[in-house]
Amino acid sequence: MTLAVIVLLAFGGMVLALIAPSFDERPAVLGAISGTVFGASLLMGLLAAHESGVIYGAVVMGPLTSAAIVLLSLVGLLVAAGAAIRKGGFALGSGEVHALVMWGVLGGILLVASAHLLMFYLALELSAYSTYVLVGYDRDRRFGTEAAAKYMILGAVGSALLLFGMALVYTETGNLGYTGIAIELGGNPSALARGGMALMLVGLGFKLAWVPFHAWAPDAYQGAFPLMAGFLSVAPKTALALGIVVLLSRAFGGSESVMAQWIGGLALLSVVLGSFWALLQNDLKRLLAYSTIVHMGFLGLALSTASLTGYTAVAYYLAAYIVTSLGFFFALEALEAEGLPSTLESWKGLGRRNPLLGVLLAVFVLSLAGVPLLAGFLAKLYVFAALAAAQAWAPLVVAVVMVVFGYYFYFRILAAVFLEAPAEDSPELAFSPTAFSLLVLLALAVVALGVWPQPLLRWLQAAVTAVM
Amino acid sequence: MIPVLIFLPILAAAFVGMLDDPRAEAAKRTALGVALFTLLMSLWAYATYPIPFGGFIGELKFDWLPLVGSRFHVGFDGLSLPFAALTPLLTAVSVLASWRKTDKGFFALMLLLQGALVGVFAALDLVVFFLFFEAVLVPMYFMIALWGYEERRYAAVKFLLYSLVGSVFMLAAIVATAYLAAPALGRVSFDYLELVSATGYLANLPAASWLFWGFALAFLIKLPAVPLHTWLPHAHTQAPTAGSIFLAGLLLKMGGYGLIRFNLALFPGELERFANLLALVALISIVYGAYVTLAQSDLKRLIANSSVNHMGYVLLGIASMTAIGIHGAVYQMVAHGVITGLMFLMVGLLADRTHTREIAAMQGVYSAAPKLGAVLWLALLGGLGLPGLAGFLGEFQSLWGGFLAEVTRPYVWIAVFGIVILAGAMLWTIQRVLLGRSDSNLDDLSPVEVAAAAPLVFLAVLLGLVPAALTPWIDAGIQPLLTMVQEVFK
Amino acid sequence: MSYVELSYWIPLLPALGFALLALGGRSFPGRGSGWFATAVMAVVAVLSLGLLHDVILAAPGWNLAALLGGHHEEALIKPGSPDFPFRLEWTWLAIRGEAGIPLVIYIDSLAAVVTAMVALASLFIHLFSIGYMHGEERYPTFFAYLQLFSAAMLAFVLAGNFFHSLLAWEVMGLMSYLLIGFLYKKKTAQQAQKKAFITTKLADLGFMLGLFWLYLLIGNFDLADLGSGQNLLAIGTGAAAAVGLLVFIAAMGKSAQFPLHVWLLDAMEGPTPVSAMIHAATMVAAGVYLTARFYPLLLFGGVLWVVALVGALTALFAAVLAPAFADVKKILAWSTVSQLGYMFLGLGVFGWAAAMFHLVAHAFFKALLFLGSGSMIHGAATQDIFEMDRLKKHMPWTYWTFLVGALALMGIPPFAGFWSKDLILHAAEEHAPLLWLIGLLAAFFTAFYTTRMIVIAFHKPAMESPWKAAEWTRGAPWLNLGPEEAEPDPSPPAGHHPHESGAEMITALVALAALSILVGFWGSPIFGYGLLTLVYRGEMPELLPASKLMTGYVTGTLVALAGAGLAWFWYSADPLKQRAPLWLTAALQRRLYIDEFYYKVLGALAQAPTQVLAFIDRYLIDGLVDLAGYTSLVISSLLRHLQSGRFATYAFYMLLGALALYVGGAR
Repeated sequence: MTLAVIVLLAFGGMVLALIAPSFDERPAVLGAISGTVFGASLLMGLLAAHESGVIYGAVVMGPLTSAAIVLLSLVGLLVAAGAAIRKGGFALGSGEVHALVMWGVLGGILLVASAHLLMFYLALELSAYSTYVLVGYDRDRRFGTEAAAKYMILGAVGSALLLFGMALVYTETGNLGYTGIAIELGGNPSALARGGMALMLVGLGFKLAWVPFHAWAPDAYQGAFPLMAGFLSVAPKTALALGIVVLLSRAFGGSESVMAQWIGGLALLSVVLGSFWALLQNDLKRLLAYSTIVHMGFLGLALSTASLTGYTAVAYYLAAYIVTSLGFFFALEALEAEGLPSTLESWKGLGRRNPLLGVLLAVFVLSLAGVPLLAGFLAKLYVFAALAAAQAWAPLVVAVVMVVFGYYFYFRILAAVFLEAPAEDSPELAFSPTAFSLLVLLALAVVALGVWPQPLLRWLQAAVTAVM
Repeated sequence: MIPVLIFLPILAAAFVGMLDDPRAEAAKRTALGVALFTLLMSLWAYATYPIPFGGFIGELKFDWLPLVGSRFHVGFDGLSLPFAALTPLLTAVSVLASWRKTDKGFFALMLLLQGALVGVFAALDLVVFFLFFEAVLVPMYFMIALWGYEERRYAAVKFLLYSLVGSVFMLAAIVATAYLAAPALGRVSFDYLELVSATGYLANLPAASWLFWGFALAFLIKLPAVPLHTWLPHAHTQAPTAGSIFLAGLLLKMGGYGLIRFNLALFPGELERFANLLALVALISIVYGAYVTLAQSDLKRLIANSSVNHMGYVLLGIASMTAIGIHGAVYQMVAHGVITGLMFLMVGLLADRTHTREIAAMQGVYSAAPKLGAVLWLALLGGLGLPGLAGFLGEFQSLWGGFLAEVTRPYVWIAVFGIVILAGAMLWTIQRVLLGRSDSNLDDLSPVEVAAAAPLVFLAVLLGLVPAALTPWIDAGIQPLLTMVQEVFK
Repeated sequence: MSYVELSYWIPLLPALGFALLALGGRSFPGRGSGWFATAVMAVVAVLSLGLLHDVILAAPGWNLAALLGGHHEEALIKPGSPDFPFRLEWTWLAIRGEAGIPLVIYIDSLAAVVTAMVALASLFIHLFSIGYMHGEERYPTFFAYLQLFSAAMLAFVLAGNFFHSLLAWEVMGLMSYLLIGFLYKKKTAQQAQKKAFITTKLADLGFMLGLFWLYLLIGNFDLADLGSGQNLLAIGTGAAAAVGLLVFIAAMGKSAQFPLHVWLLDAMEGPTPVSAMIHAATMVAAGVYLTARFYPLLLFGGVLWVVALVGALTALFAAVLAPAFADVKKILAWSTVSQLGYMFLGLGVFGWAAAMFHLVAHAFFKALLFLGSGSMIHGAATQDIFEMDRLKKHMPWTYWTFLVGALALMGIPPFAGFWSKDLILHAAEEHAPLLWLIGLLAAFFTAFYTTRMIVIAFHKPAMESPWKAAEWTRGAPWLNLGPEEAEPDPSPPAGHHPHESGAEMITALVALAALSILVGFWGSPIFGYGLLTLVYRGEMPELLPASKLMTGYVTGTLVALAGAGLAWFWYSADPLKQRAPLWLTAALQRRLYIDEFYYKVLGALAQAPTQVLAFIDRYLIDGLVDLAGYTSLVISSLLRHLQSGRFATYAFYMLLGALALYVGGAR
């Protein structure tokens, strides 16, 4: 089944790319095709849960792979549906977007499924390249091309260091397979191996936007169109985070892993600095970029515990983040379609112009902030629980304090939406039913995950347990 | 029953939010109906509580987050029932006080607050407690920020962030407590009753004082205790009348309630260790709070600051760790809820009429509007701890208990002077606002407003003269705690 | 059913009357609310007299001769009934493991006597008010207040638990506050009510702390328990003295004893029946009653001399100041302060029963005097005795009843004050000769100012009031009011002719006059010291040999006659002649500047921290909070510079990070 998914997505992307030019006028058809493919892969991912085995020593089948397929296909599905929100096409044509998203998802799935560093690298690049293109895809945007260029070149630096790190690890262990590396490294890796692992973290941290490898993120988010910024904020993160779970548990060793400790350091730095940076942002996409940095920091803290609780927290965090963040970016996209740029200024009085939209936005923003009974709260709670279980008191205290900062900048959004009066001449906001139904659906998911997370959690925990 | 008390208002809030109701007529009727219905339910629970047996009633638990060891566990005991009954009552009063409001959202927020507050008082699982504790913040933020006075934004943000600082540390402490207590319980559990059974184990942890302060910080901010109180004057002053009633009547109570429910029950040893410090904080709150009250020129701000004084008695009673002192703390909380709620109600109604809160701009209210003046007079006298009204019994018991414990006794000697200073502040306010001749016309209380004030006046007098309406419940609630504390000390 | 079992209705009925009048007083027609309140008090009076009757039957009897001979151990001739003192008890505030606060009604002889006294005085004051308050805007409210006050006073007397004493005590304080400021539009009334409340509240802290300490020592607040030898031993001398003195501070506040007397003069801002009821007959006497209840502690602690000293000094001080005043109510107010001083003197020199006798006698004759002054004010339309025009001619009923009260006050035989005050002086003579001399001097002044008042008000034609709005009293500096803020008391309108008061008022005056004569006789040796032996507790060195009494009686009478004679001699000749130097008159009228000292020095000191603390609150503590917030924002805006938007910078961060990780990792 896993194999079938890989094939399906690879060919699906190709087909989409091929037929795209003929559907430039009717992008909805492409969206439908893409959605169908992702829907199929999502179902197959669910079916793949009971598979096991390794393909060519490089791709692992198993519950975690299945979970990755499900989560990432879900992202793909949502993005395919979300594309319908967007009015008008792109100067470069709309078709390729769907193809690129599909390859990006495929890369993500392979990343989680890989059991070999080379495979890992290839998957990473596959997913990366599609995002490089997607960031600059809307070349009419002011910062689009510039952002894409920065993103790509910095990404190349990251990849280079990742490769170099792998090379060092290979030098020391003579292995590129996870199992082999784990055996060779044992409990006490040599200095050179540790250096390799450290350099690998640069590439990984770059993708996850951990400070200090985060610098591309605000520019890229701002430059990309909101839908893509949304995709960027969830798909590579989901893949990388789960990929690191596999790396940590299969290759770079258990809870005493030095790698985990460094991750903890980077994560803490991200949480703190990201929060400070976010305080005064007025551009919503930049704000969300910093918010992503903070969220990835929280997630990294869970990763750093290298425990089952921690990894479950990571998986749940990702699920919660997917629905919350995509919801917010979809709303951004929908508002841009209405001619509202993504700035706090232009959002003033939204809640009065359209109360339902206001409530939906509030759900997403409050979930990002971590208000109880929404998905974002439980995500953070699990992270804190993992830290407590690992007796990591200092990071725990720092993390909870930064939650306060989070409230400040998220509530700035809500203040603009609800407390400010709309401009005098602002017209009624009329959304497409698609946009509304998508937003309502995601908001319901946010609430559902916050109120009744039990089934999802069990499933995710089972998936994570499988790699431990 | 408890889920109904918690979730019916929340669902009703959603319903109210979805109403197509430009004048909010249906919204306020719905809100009032829900508040009264839940009030009857909670009064029934209050009345049928088996005082001689104590323990928890209406207990309900089911696994909610088994992966972290948290259950949805709620129940009422004698400690929580008074507050659980006060919540719908004050909601009903607030709805009546806001009868002229025309925004359905306002009424939806009140219902949300009601549900979350009952959740706070009913929660028997630390995560569930935190959940509701935190959930209170958001509707309150919006209530202040949307419907408050001129500096509402600043006040709302200050309220939100200040409260949050406390609660995040509490969250850290909650998580840490559960994991540190795990060896004693054999598993990670956030269940209050299970954790209470591990109090002896918790007491010996090296981190016990950190955990204690994690909880205490949140509750001292909520209480509020000097010097963590400065959010309160802003929030109270800027909040709309209903918001002030909720804040004074219930939100502050979460602090005192939490101190007894968690700090006393889970960390009695630490409480004893820091009793001196807490008593000092209480003393400062009482005396300093009274002085700062005396200096205010804004009527709402004045009453807000008097709350600092009033809640100081709560802390003093708790710090004494005597049965009488804790009785006094709880009694004082209920009394303060009733009386300060009444004060804010009347001041809000007055400010709506005079379009100012400046004391200097008011005069002769009593002669212009005798009913309003008389009730405000009564409320202000209640605020100075007048015997015969509820506040006196609370203050008296707190000080009495404080005097009985050796550690708090020296503080009582000074704290009593706070009574006189506050009395001066209140009497001066009465003189400036109520007495003298009036040269303006004020509408007197309308029947709806009389209906809003009547239950509070009734309770203020009832609790001032008939402690049997409250004391047995408190006793049933805190005696098991105290027995357990005694065992820990042995 | 005995009256004892009905006793809880005694405070309850007026309380219910209050509730009814407060909620629906305006629906009574005309004077209906006044008559209703009076009817309630009539029922209460009947119940109280019935209770007194029950108590007289049940109380132990004493052999007078043995008592007078000093043989206390043989004096008991009739043991009290086994259930005496009566006690009714209900649960009120129960805390497991603690005594808590039960609701107790405790009726011993003293309680029964004082209850009857309060009920009767209150009844006639109600009756008087029906006419006096007629036409007042808040007529029903006034009666509501009187009802609640009566309820509180009766509850205070009957309370068997000191907590409830405190509760009722404070409610009385509240009613005093509300009634002083009954004319709430007057600035002087507002200031006076606040002053009274704060002064007494400050003193009441002593009561509260005393109770806390008492509970700490003996574990309950029970009144009956206090005197038991076992408890006293448990308490110990030092603690007993401390607790006793703490409570005594509260009593000083309530009974306006020097130096806490400052509020009582200003309390005269209230309507005259209020002064009669609260600031003469009942509430101010509560301090004496309370001290009497704490007597065992004071005795055991060896600090009775403090009580005696305060009492004697106050008695003299107030009597010396009274002649400097022209306002009839203020003269009577000083007289009240002075007479209360006598009671404390009596308590302090072991004259417990004598002090109680004076308490009861004083209540009647002072209520009579105040109501008489009310009648005078009503008829003459002024409070200034100089402006009153030969009232004896115009108001004969008022004159004769007032005279009865005045003679009682002066201590002229055979009126009430003679019997009671002289007993106190005898006790002082026995135990503290110096205080006895002070007491005699005070008695001289008492007779002097009383006679002065009667001569000027009743016998002399109206004349220009010499000190009306004197420069040194303009405004009311003792109330911290500026010259413009207070209105001077009104003079009678031109062409006003004094007239006698209405029937209700006269009835009340006559009844009180009769009562003050009767009660004097009841306690006099002629009728075997009936009242004294009734309240006598059988454990104190109390009554004196009859032989010594006679000289005392003679001395007292002579002193009083001397004072009265001097006043008669001076004021019937020329009332306006300035006999004291003007500076002395000014100082006396400014009340020796004590009030102003309190306001300007102590009050200012107490309030000094206010603005400082408010500043600290607003700018230091809150400022720090805001600073924390702003600091974060400043840090944030500084950190933004790191995010330059330049590719090279970003790459630099990455490489720096990589280097750090590598070095840190490989090391």
